[in-house]
Amino acid sequence: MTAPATMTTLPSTVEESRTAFRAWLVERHDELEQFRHSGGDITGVFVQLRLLQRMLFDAGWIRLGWPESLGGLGGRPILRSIVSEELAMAGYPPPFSFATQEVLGPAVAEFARPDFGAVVLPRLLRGDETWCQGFSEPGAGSDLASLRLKAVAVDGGWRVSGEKIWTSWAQFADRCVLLARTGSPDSAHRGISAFLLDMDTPGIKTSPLRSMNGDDEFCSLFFDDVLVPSDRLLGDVDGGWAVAMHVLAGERGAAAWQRQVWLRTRLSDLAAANDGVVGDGVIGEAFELLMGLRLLSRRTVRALSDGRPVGSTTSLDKLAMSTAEKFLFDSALAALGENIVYEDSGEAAAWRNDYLYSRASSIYGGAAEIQRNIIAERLLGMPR
Amino acid sequence: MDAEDVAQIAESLRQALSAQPQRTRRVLDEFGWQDLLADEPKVAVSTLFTLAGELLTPGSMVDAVLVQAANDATLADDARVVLPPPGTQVPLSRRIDGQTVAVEGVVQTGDGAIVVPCLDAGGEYALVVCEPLRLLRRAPLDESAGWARVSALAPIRSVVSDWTAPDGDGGPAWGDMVAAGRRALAHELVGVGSTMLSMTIEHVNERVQFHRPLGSFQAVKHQLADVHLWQEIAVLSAEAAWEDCGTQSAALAKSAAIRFTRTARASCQQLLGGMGFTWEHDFHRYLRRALTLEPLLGGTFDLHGELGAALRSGKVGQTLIAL
Repeated sequence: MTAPATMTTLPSTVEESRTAFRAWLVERHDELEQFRHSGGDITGVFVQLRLLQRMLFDAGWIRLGWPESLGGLGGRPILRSIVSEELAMAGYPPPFSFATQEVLGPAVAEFARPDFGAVVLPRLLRGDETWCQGFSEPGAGSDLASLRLKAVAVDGGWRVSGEKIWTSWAQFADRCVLLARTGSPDSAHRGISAFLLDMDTPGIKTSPLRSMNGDDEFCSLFFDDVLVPSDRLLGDVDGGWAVAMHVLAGERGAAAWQRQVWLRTRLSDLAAANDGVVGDGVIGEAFELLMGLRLLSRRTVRALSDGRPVGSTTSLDKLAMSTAEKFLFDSALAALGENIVYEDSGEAAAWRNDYLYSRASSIYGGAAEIQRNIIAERLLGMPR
Repeated sequence: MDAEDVAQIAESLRQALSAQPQRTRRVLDEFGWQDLLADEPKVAVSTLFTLAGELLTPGSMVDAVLVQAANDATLADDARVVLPPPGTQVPLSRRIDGQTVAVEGVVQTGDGAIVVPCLDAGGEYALVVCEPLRLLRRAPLDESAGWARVSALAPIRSVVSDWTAPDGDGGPAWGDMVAAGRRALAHELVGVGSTMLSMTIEHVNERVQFHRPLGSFQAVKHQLADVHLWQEIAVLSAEAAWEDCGTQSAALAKSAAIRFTRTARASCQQLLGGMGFTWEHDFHRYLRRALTLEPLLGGTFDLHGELGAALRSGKVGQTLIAL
């Protein structure tokens, strides 16, 4: 592998990457300043964040930790987490598809047909396209294995019909990682297959669903006899559960690491808010909870990077994340409530949005109740 | 020393301590634990204190850890350090003049010299060794833990000169002693809480009511899942505190450990039901030890306040607990 022109040598360790990326951030400071404040309407934000992603890709940073065969520069996956952390610490927003890359990227890299993966993954990394995740259904939330959207084998591929919900930013997505029922209706997790399909395929209708913080992030997807070519299958037929678990591991690995870094920046904001109106004790407790999350997340990121199985321990990460996130924004509401509730200017608008969004942290990606069941049954060995 | 060596040390320590549960100091002398503390402090502290929590060994070796952190050759290995009153890390003992110190706090019962971290009239930290003290024996909740309150005027025998932190900033070494003590107490609390949790899991998995094991009820599972969450974080925090041996990471470890034992005390007590309320059941011994250790060198209130103030003043590196 060769380093891009902007890197004199390719960093291989965590420390080398950190130092080199910090130096690059300083060197390109003027050019990067436009990305520091990503306000405005959502379409404009996306355009800007794609520019940032392209810049990071061209300089090689987003390619670190991805295999060369998939457009990366090689190196251990943990290097990716360094880039996202340093970016956030320097005060820049994560490029739009950053989280998607970490949630969906590893599973597609692992399960896509190699030639297909080699085409689509570089596009994701470069920011040329964005992907969404079609898992939940109106009748299958935390009980994901009961999903019903059907894929029927036909000549040259599959015919897909059914409905998905809670798909983030599907209206902007070029492709979708979709879970579909390919076994009998009662085949549970044994009869599910995964696909990576094009969102412009005829028969897909996307309908935004406004969430309580006012965003059109989540969408409903309707599939009416949509043809998916056979080479879009991820993994084996009826082997989709393994893909789903890989996605969840990514969500609770590097993506969760990114989120705790962001939560830390919000904690600093809270400490400074309104001339320090929030007491030291509250800031300290939020800090303790965030560091607990960070420790669990670090363990998961390291394990995934080294190719060690993470098993059910990521349920701990998920539970720690929602606990820390809710505590942080509950504290914000307690201290800044007057502004959050009665105004929506500037800072207050961001606190209001983040407070409202934090309510979902114990619901999405498997509700806290499910995480507790998993912890009790699989980690503590309690009877089902 | 690799993980296997550490596991081996922990196992032989466990066997030695279990064989003579009432003679901890002697067992540790024979084991050469003080040498281990000097050479491999992390291994010595993490193994012994976790075991001390699991086995509820009598007394406390936290003095040895504090004396080591005081970094002064004139202090005896078996010296006892007067800790500030439970709940805080700030010494309440006052050096009246060159001859007398007003001692306030808690100290281990025993025969070793008494070392008193204190403040003088000018607010400067000092570490003095004083004449033996009369301890207040007032039936503590956990007799076996060996802690007694002390509130007395004592003649000063000697003063530790040049009591500064080795990092060269000229500050008192008290901060280092507190951090070292908190790391040890965090491991010990992990041992105490982990035993509460394992005895409770055993109980709810075996105890049948309404024709099913208690552990099959979701209300029961969810409580213990939370205890386990804080257990995992406490274990990781206690280990991580050795990465930089810093003030904040030690405060985080102690804080996480208290969250764990506090949750375990409440949930395990509830789920052990009537059995856990009896004198015969071991639970109350662990409850007593947890309540005794939690406030030493700072309880939750102080720890959170310290951590928040440190974060605010920019004393916490953004990559504390680095990838």
